[in-house]
Amino acid sequence: MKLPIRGLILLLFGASVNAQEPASCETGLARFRSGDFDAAQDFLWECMESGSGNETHALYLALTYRPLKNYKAGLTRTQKALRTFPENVDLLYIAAYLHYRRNETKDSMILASKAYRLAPNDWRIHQLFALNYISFDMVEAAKLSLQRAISLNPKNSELHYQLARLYFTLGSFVDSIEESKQALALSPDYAEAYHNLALSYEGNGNVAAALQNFEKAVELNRKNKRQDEWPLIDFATYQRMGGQPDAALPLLEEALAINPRSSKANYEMGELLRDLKKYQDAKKFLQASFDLDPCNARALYGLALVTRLSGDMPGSVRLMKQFKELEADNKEGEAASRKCQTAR
Amino acid sequence: MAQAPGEARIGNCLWLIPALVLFGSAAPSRRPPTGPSSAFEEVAEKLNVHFQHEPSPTSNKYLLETMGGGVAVFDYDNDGRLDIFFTNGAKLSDPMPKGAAPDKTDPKYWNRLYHQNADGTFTDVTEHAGVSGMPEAGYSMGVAVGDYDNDGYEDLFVTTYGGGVLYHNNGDGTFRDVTTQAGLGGGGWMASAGFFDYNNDGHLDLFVTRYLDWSFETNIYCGDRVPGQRAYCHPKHFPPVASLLYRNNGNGTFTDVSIESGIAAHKGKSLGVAFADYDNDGNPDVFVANDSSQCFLFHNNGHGGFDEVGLESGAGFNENGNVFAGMGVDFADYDNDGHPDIVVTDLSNERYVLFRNAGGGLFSDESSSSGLARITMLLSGWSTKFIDYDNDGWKDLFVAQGHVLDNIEKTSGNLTYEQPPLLARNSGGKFSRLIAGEAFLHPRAGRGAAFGDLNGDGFVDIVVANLGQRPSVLRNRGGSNHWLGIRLLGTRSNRDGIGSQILVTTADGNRQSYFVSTAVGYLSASDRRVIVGLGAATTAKSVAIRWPGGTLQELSNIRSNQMLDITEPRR
Repeated sequence: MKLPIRGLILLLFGASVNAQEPASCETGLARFRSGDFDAAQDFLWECMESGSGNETHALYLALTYRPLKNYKAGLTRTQKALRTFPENVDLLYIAAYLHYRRNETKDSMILASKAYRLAPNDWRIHQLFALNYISFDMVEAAKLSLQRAISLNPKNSELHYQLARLYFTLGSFVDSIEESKQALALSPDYAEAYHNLALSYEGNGNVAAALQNFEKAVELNRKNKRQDEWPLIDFATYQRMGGQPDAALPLLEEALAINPRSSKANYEMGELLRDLKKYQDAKKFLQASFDLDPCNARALYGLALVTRLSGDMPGSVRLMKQFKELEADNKEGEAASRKCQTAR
Repeated sequence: MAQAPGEARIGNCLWLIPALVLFGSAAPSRRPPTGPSSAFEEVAEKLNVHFQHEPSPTSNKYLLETMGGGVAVFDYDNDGRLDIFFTNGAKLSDPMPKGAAPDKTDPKYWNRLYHQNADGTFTDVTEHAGVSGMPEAGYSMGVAVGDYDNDGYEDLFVTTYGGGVLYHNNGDGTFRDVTTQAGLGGGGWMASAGFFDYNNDGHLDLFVTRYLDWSFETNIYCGDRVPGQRAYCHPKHFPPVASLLYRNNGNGTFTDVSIESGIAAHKGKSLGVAFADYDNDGNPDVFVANDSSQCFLFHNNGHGGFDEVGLESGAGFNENGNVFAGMGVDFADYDNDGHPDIVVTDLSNERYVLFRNAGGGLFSDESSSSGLARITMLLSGWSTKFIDYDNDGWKDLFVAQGHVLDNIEKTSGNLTYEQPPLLARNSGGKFSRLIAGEAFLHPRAGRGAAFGDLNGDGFVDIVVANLGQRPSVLRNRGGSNHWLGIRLLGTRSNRDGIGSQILVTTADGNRQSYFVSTAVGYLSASDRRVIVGLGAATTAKSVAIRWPGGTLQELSNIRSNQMLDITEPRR
């Protein structure tokens, strides 16, 4: 799946770039926009290390690490720069962000806190706090941080979207709908916000609105050639739940064309084909789903069922046994999870 | 009953959820999918059914407070009109002193029997009938109905926390507690119960589900330690317990055969129970809805024993291989293919589970393909039954609803404790929600529900037991479709004909199958008579009966719109 970095650029700021900055700063941003993240990273580092970088450059520099995933190198370079500019909020932010991406939430929080003491009204720091709080399962704190970030940068649609996702995850669907709409008011082509809006309407039982927004999310992704299988999977699942297998089928086909290695898409296709009583075909997809994610007990159970429905009793018994073992392992907690991960 | 997280459908936003617990809470839709029709009318007040359920809620949140009560619709005095029996709670101290038992002394906690008068209204005859629940001082849960001694009068078994009570119908409008002499000494937290003849010997046996190994002493604090947010505990905090099977000895006594039959080998957190012969081998099988543990399908091996085949049959888990908060259950042929299917109600975000009988002893979860998943995703259901409310020849689905947590609004803003009942219309095997009257818009704390044609018009009416509230009596206004009522009278089989299979065929080829049973949904018992919707057909081309002992009987060209009494051939 292609990461939505480019799409995010327009969502993050209404901010313009300082005309007085060195060429490396402007070039870095330009390379980022063109998707040349390697070059963008180099130019933006040059910009930051020259002492000319601003909030925008730091943010985009941080974002280059999402697709490139060279976090360790980034941290080394940031630490080096921090030795020269120990109280540079932008560098502290980048370091904190990179630690967050490496799941080093404690280190991330220490650096973010330092940045906060220097710049308490920097929205990026509050956003970072929120992301870390979520890692700590401190939901209320995450919500407050995102709300604070929004108050500091109300035109940032990503912040609204993130808050919407938080509300959705908490089951606060009305709030999630409201924040999704705020995000969409700022960025009308924000497919992920439509996707979240659809899920929230689904959560609230508003079938028509859910269908409409799933459709919109899928359409936008098609229009922008954004390769995201998830709205397709969720849309298909919702159609299937409504007893509409014919509507679900092409959506899952499209999702699998985007990401044939999606365990979830393979699973849903298998279940759909079971509904349609195409047991042999269903088996293939459920097997693929399980192969892609050996921790996925539901795929194994589905496979066992269709194996039985297709007449292979011994095979089904074997799979059921395997399912029970996996279930038991999953209940055992982390140790079993590791076992499962090893198999993966 | 468990407040289990549903399947959270979270898309690709993984950045947000590395450690976040997905509560997956949801609220019932407040927008009716279709405008109210007037198929059902709420008539409890009009008919003088003034029962008030008293669960005796405490600050200690004793779990049984939120689990009752049950209801039975049956004709106890054989006057041809259906009567209504409600179970009730008992006074609980807050907290309960060690060794104390729930106190049913105050009449407001009594179970109540309402006799239907000739004009269709009801009169409370509890005291005269002797079914108040006093003096055994139990916190009543559910009720089973069956003529266990084949004397022609329906008897009652009332489940309670701590045991059950068997009331023998004396035939003169009174009942007598015969629990001890009948040998029904089982204890524990009993939930649903049902009479059925598992060994086809002509005498009704008794199956009793038990919920948890829980007591006032083992009750713990659950929920946030914030004022008003203490919650009823998830069943995971308490050990499971086995159900009970009592064999009828044919002399007014029963023998506990739970161990020798294999039932006791399977401990669950059992709530609803339903019976049907799913594999058509002539022996009635048992489905037990378990709360947050695998559901049980007990296959009757025909030799006095049962094999639990939930996992291998595909009826133990939902389509995702997950357990769910199974509460109510019905076991009936919804898709008119001749095989009894299973529906199980559960909690919000789990969607009700519809196991279609695929034949060959296999079940397939068709919750999604039938459309039931989408319309029930946000609902919490208890008692349930497939009823053909409009007699169009397809069994629809009714569910009494309400969340288990009375303070759910405080912890999950989008959820509501009270919920309107559900009527899902069955159109050729696909379900859609129907607002069949104002009662289907009014939120209640529904629990038990029983079904029967109260006013003899050929359309099934519904009585719902609402926790801590007055009941709902939903009178079906009927319609133009034709119907056929069937009342069986066993001679060699049990007198109620429970366990008989009825196949009704109309000229247009519609074939409907029924399994005669009074056990229904959750904590409840329905009229044993079968109402068959014939649609536009003015006659039933064929009515075929397979009695529990295997006797086959067939009638042809039966005119519609009548209650037909069918007696089992003696030879």
